[in-house]
Amino acid sequence: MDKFTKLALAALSMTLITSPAEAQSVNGTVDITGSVAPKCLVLPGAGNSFGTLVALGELAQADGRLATDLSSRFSSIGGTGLIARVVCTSANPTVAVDALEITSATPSTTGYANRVDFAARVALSVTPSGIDTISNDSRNAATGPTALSGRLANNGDSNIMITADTFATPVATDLLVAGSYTGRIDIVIAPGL
Amino acid sequence: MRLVISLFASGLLILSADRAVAQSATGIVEIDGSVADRCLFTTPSETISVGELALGGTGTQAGRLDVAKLNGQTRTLAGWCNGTAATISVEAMPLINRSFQGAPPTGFETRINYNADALANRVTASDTSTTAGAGTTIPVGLFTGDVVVTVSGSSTATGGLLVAGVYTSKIIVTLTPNVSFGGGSK
Amino acid sequence: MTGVSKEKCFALIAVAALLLPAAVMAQATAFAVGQGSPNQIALQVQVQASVGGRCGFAPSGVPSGGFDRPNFDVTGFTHDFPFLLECTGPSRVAVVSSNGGLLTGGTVPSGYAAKAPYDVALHLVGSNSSADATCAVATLVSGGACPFRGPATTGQGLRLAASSVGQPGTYLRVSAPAYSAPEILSAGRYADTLIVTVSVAP
Repeated sequence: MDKFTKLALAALSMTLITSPAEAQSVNGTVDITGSVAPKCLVLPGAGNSFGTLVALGELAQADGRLATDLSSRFSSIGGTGLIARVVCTSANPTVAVDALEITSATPSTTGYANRVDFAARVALSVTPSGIDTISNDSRNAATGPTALSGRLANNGDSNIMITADTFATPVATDLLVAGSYTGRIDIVIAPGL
Repeated sequence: MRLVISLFASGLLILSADRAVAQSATGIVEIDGSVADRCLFTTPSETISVGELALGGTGTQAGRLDVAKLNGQTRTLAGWCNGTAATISVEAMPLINRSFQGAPPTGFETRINYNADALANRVTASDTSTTAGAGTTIPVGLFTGDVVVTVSGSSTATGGLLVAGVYTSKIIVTLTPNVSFGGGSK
Repeated sequence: MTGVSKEKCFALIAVAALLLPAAVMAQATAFAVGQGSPNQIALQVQVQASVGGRCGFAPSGVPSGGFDRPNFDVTGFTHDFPFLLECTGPSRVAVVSSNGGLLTGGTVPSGYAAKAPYDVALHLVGSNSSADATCAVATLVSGGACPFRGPATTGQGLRLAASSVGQPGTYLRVSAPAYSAPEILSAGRYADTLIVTVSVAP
């Protein structure tokens, strides 16, 4: 290689050295993901059960037949235990209600009853407004999971209230057998899937 | 190879479904109540008015107790007991002349005795007025219905003449529930 | 120019191109040995150059990757995304959030939420100093108030006063406690994407 070529190539090399620095990466991307499970919670506290014991006391009135004020007695004795606040993360929760008749183990006889039927009603506040009522009569089979018309209202207040009415013996004139009686209302609020 | 993978994936799905049982909120309202043992007479009293107790006429028995007036008299009360351990008893009180004080003269009577039965729920309690106090208490159990009271065996101590006057008596039927408080009715 | 190879011709043209704007122009002629004097001319080429500021992520340390937390509303989460700066001078790092929070699909009524908050923290390590800042992710969207909301420019972003080349310890941290706001989070999958940028910051 002659001098001229060497000189030119040297000049070209210097040109290469003085060109700007090569581009670096100036941005990066990170992804964050997560999940919230479908679930129903009792507030406050995020537990999953509510309820109370309603001790109705004497079920018979003076003439031996079923007392006629059991509906109002149920509410006043149950009090705040019949009110609850439940929220579900899913959009269409379901509510199932089963009223179990109030019975005594003592066998009955003609003219008597050892069983008191009733209707349980669960009133639920939904969004944006309104109340859905899911009921079950102890004379019937359980009310299966029933979709609500919207999400359960979440506004800081209780959104469930339980009442009972239509208490009755199988025959209206039945006297009540003496003894202790028990019944129950089962409610399941499940996230709809 | 592909088949094996599919089965494995299905297994995973099944496991996931089992584990994904979503948390529900459960409400349980327990209800309890009681009915106290009680008995009640819904028809608590009846009256037996027999009128003239003595035989009429002029025969040897005139003026003495006409047993036909009392024997066979029956009245029906009604009541109920709501407990299986209820009991019944009856007390027959002698028919006594209330118009005459003191012991009657010889040959005369001021007291008539009789037997009373009380039938309820297919059991019968009995008593005689010759002895003070109620007869034996017997179980009557859970019932609602008639309590039939029947008079029999009327007599006087000596068969003498009945002193004139007003004779009164009571037959007391007692229904008792299992517990001592709670309203036994007479 | 006959008899001169193409390579030589090109070299000569290139030299000419360089030399023409140069300050020094040789006027003398050089002769071959035995045919005159001088036999060579010293050309002086002035070289003017500068070293540009390098600032970016090291090729092996670009912020990347993903983090998934099931049931994050119950457990909360904290996760670091380490990265490496390659900046020969002061720099600024900035972050942009796609969603302003962890977002799920669908609309929700009052009392419910479809977006969950979390915090974004930057920890930048330099040769002789470090820099830290934390913002709520909601302030990392367009127009948001976070001082290190991206994209990074010479005036925007968390400034690291020192150079940082191959310095370990730099990270972006995302974190949240167990969810406790009154609005109930809707069930489902949630996601967000953070874009991290860096700029010189003299």
